[in-house]
Amino acid sequence: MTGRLILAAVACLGIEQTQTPTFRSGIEKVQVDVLVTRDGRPLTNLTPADFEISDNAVPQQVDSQWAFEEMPLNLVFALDASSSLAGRRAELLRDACYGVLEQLKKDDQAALVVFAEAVVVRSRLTPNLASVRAAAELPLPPGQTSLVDAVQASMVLAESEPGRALILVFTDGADVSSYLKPDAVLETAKRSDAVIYGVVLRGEARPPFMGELAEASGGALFAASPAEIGQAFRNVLEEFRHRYILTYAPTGVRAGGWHKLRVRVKQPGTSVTARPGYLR
Amino acid sequence: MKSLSRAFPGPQRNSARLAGGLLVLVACSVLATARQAGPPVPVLRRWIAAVLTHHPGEIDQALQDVAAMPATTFKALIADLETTLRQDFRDRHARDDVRRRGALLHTDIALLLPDLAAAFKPSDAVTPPRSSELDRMGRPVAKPATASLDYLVDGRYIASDVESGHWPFAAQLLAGIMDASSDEFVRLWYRAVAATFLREYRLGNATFHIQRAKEVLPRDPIMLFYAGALQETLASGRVRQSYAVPTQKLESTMGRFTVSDAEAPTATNLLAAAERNFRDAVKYGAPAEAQLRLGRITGLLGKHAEAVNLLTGGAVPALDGRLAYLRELFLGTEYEALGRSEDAGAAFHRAAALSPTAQSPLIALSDLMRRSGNRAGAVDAVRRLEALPAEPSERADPWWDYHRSYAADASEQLAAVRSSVDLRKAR
Repeated sequence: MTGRLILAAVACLGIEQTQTPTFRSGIEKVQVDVLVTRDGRPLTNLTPADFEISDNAVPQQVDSQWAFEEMPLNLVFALDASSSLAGRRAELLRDACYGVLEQLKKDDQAALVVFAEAVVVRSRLTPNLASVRAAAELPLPPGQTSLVDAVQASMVLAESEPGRALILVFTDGADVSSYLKPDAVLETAKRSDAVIYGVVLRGEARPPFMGELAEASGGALFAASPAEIGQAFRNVLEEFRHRYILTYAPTGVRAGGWHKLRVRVKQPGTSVTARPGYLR
Repeated sequence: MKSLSRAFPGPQRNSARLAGGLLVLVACSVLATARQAGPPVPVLRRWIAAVLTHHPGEIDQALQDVAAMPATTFKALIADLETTLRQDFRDRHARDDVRRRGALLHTDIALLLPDLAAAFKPSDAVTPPRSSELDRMGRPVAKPATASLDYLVDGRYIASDVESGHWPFAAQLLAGIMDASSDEFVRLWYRAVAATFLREYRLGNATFHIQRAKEVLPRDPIMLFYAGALQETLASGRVRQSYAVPTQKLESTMGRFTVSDAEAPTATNLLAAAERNFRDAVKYGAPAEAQLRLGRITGLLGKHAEAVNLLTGGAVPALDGRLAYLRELFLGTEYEALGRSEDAGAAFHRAAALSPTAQSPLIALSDLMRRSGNRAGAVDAVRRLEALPAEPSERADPWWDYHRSYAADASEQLAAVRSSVDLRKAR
C-alpha cells in the first residue's frame, strides 16, 4: 500500500451492527475503494481474483468488484469561501466546479456546500446539475473559515442518498471558527462511506487536518496554484473514475473497533492505494 | 457577563478632581515658563505639561507633541522622572496623578496614533519592574522589554508581539504609584487595556500586558478571568494550528517565524494554565462566565463529569442569552463524551432553540447522530442547517465570537478609565 499522498476507501455497507463479537458472513459486507496503478498509470482490467485483502491480518475472500463507471456518483463540493478568496480566485474556483459538473454522467448527483464562518448548503444532492451550477454562480459569503464543520456536514450530505460518495474539498487556509474538533470529524470519516479529496493552494500555510482527512477516508490531497484549481478538480474526478470497489464478508475478526486493512494485487509492479482501515 | 467597568469610588474621585485642578495650574505655569525662557524647555517638563493638558481620548496638540518625540527621549525621561516629579510636585497624590495621566496619554498615543506609536519600539522602552527589580529608593531598574510569541491565524500573522513601546512605558509609569496594587485607577487601566487587546485579537500585546497585570493585581478576579480566557484562546485551533506548520515553510512564505514547534507551549499546558486561572477567578468572585469557561476547559482536559458539574452548578444555570446558549452547547459536548447521547442531543436541541440561526448545535447534533450510527438523525440535523438563512449576514452564532466576546465591553471600560481623570470634569 503506498504511503504517498494517501488513498483508500472502505465503506461498511449500511447493515445493522451485529451483537456478536465477530462479523457473520452473509450479513455484513465491507466495501473497499481501491486505486491500482503501474508506473503511475491506473490499471483498469483487474478481476476479484487479482486482489488479496486482509482485515486485522486475517485474509478475506473478495467476493465482488465494481468499477467506478458502474455505480452512480454522489459528489459534494465543499468550497472555502472565506475572505481570502475573492475576485479572480473566486472566479477560478467557480470555473473549476463547472468543469467537473460537465463531466458527470446521467445518474450522477451533485451538491454544493460553501463555507466561511457560516456553512451554507447551497444545493443538496440532486441530479439536476444545472441547478448546482446556478448555485455556484452566487457570490461567495465572506468571513473566516469553518473547514471542519463544513466537512462534517458534507459527509452527512454525501451519504444522504444511495450511491458512491465523493467529497471534493477546496480550502486556502486553516480552520478558525469550527465548533467540532478535527479529531472528531476524522473519526467520523473513518466510519463514513465517503471518499474525501482535498485541493489546497500551493504555497499557503495549511493545517494537517486536510491531509489526515484524505488519508483516513481513502482520498488524496492535491496542491495547486490558483490557475491550476480547475485541472486539479478534473484530476480528482479522473482518478476517482479509475478506482475499484471491492467487497467482502468479514470472517474471523471481531466486529468492534479499528480494523486495519491491507490490500495487495497479485501482479508485479503494481501500486495499491486504499484506506488504512475502518472503524466499526 | 456584567459590565467590568466601574467608576472611581466617590472620595477618591474627589481627590482626583482636586489634584487635577491643581495640576492644570501647574501645567499652565510650566508652559508659561517654557515660552518665556527662550532656550528649549527640558524635555521632561515638556512631557509633564503635555500630560497635564491632554484631554484623554482626544487627538489634541499635547498628544501629538509627545507622540512625535524620539524614542531616546523616553529613556532619558524615565531616568529623571522621579527626581523631577518630586521637585515639581511635593504632594504624593499629585505625583501619582501625573503618573496616571501620563499612562493615559501614552495609552492614547498607542490607540489613537498607531503609526507614530509604532516608531517607539518595545525594545526602546522599559518594562514595569517587579518588586525585586526596584532599587533601595524604590525606583525601577531599567530592563529591555521582551517580545512575546508570534501567532498565525488562518495562515496569516496577527498581532505578533508588543506593538509599541508606549504600552510598557505606560505600565512603568503606573508601577511608580504608591500602593499601585490597591490603586483603583491602576486596576481599571489594566482591565480596560487587557479587554481592548483581547477584543481586537492583539494577542502579543495581551500576553505581555496580562503577565504584568497578574504581578500587580494577583487576586483581581477580572484579570484572572482574562488570563484564563487568553490561554484558552491560545490553546484553540485557530491559534495553535500555526505551530503545526513547519518552520521552514513559514520562513519561505512568511519571511519570519520566531516560535518553533518545540518552543511553543503545548495546548495541554495552556489549558492547564487556563484552568488554574479560571479556578482562581471563580474563587475571587469573577462573573459566572468564568465558571462556564472553567467547565469547558475541564472538559477539554478530559474531566467530563466534573465539567458537567461545573456547567450545571453555581450561577451558571441562571445565565441567559449568549452565555446560556454556550452552556447548552458545551453541556452537549460533555454529555456526548460521557456516552450520554440522549442528554447530549437534548442539550444541543436547547442550544439551537436559544440561538435559532446558529449552526454549531446542528453540526454537533449531526456528528452525534452519525457517530452513534443514526444516519437518518444526522441527515435531519443537516436538513435543519440547510434551512438556516442562506445570507451569512442573517446568520449569527455566538460560538464564532467566543474567543473575543468576553471582552465586548472594552470600549466602555476604556471610556470609564479616561473619564476618571478628565481635566474638564475636574474643573
